[in-house]
Amino acid sequence: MGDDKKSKYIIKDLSLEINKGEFVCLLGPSGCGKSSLLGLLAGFIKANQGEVLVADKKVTRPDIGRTLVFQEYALFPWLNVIENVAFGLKNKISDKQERFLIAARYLKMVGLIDHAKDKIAQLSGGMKQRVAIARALAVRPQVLLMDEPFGALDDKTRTEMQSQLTNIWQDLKPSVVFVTHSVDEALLLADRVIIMAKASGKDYLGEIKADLQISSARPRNLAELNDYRNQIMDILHGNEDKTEYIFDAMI
Amino acid sequence: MIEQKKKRITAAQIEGSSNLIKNRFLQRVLFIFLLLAIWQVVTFLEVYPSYLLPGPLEVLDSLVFGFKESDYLLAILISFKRAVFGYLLAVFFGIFSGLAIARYRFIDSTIGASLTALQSIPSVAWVPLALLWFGISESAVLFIVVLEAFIPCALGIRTGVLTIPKEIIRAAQTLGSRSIDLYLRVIFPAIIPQMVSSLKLSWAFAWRALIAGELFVSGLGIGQTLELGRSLADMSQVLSMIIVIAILGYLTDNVFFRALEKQVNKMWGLAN
Repeated sequence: MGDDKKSKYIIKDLSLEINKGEFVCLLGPSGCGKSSLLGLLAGFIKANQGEVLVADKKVTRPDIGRTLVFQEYALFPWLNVIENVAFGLKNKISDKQERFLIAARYLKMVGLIDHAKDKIAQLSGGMKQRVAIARALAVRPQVLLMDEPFGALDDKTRTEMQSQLTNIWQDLKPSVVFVTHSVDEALLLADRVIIMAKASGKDYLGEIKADLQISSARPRNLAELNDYRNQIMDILHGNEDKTEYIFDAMI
Repeated sequence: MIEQKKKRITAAQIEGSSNLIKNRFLQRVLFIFLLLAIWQVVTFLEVYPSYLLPGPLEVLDSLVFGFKESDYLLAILISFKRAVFGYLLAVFFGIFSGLAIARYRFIDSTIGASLTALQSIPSVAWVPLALLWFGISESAVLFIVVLEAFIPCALGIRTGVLTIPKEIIRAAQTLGSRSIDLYLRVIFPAIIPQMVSSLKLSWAFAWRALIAGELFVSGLGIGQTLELGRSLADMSQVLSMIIVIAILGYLTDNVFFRALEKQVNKMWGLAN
């Protein structure tokens, strides 16, 4: 599968199968096509060849079965918190009362039930992203797509959000495809890390380098994951520039 | 006096914002009185003959007389009715064409581009054309008003739609919203702040076009009264009408549209 943009393919010959209830991270540097791949799964981008199937149904356009959480939250500022969460339920449930009950349940899950009536502009970045996650989950999607959702948050909030997301995922068990460029984030969250890299000297931009299972139990501690970490570093950079990359990550 | 004003401002700043607003209002009123005083002095010294520059008291007389004995009030109401009717028509078509221009690229590169060119034509330039097409009539005025008010509305709506963040639309699509539902629940509410400012701009254009059109048309209205004042060489009446136009413009802008903006900001959680 690939996407044609300025006559250059983004990804070629891609084949990927994701199991139900699996948490998959797409990990790679910017420009390797991981966000495009997510757009393809969401139905915003059409493949030149091949197809995307979700539960044996072909993906042709955006659909309520595959909701997306964006880095920039993409909340509706003219609605309050609970109305945002209830937005997607409108097409599923006709009874307004019931929609708000469901929305309230998801707000409770992300710990924002006390802010149900707040305006979006009053919320902090972390709270906004929690609303966005509640909104995306409230419609019970088959797949939850997340495009660097914690990229705009500070470190402390990011860590909190990661553990909260793990808890929610363990509760609801949706299939998750999570795009990130942070190795640590992928290690903390995923069952499976798809490592992508820029393809050099080819007529397309990026490719899948490896597909790694992370089997350690949750909640996870980064210190226990060092072996996986080294393995990913090797795949991403080869042995020679590993130190440099770690240095990069520390900054 | 300047010293005093300065003191008052700093005192108000310390006391809080409500006093500051009061003080600003006071400043404005004082300034207007100052202008009136200068005007009075100039007429008193007879720098210009009084048929060219009557004093403020004469103009006030003329205003009072106009409202009491003559039909100023009726003229204002008739003009207002025309403006509002033309404005509503313009806004109705403006919103739909703005949406269409934003939706289809070929409409944008054809009609959208021509509107930008049309916008540079001042409303008076359409008067001869309107008079030839519609005669010296109400319809001619209406034509000019609609034409002038329609353009900023359509272009504003276009900009509003095109500047909605892409993610907002995409988020709505993944939440199952499409076509009419997408317009009603996302695109329309998303452009409301932009819409209010284009409605405001549109009204300003409608109001200007109306006065310009009325100058050339017989019957009753603010523009006609103004023109009548000229033909009777009644400068007091001319100046009264100019003051009426200024006050009405100020009121619609600062009372009606400001209230609307406040309401929208409240809805968006932007201001207190």
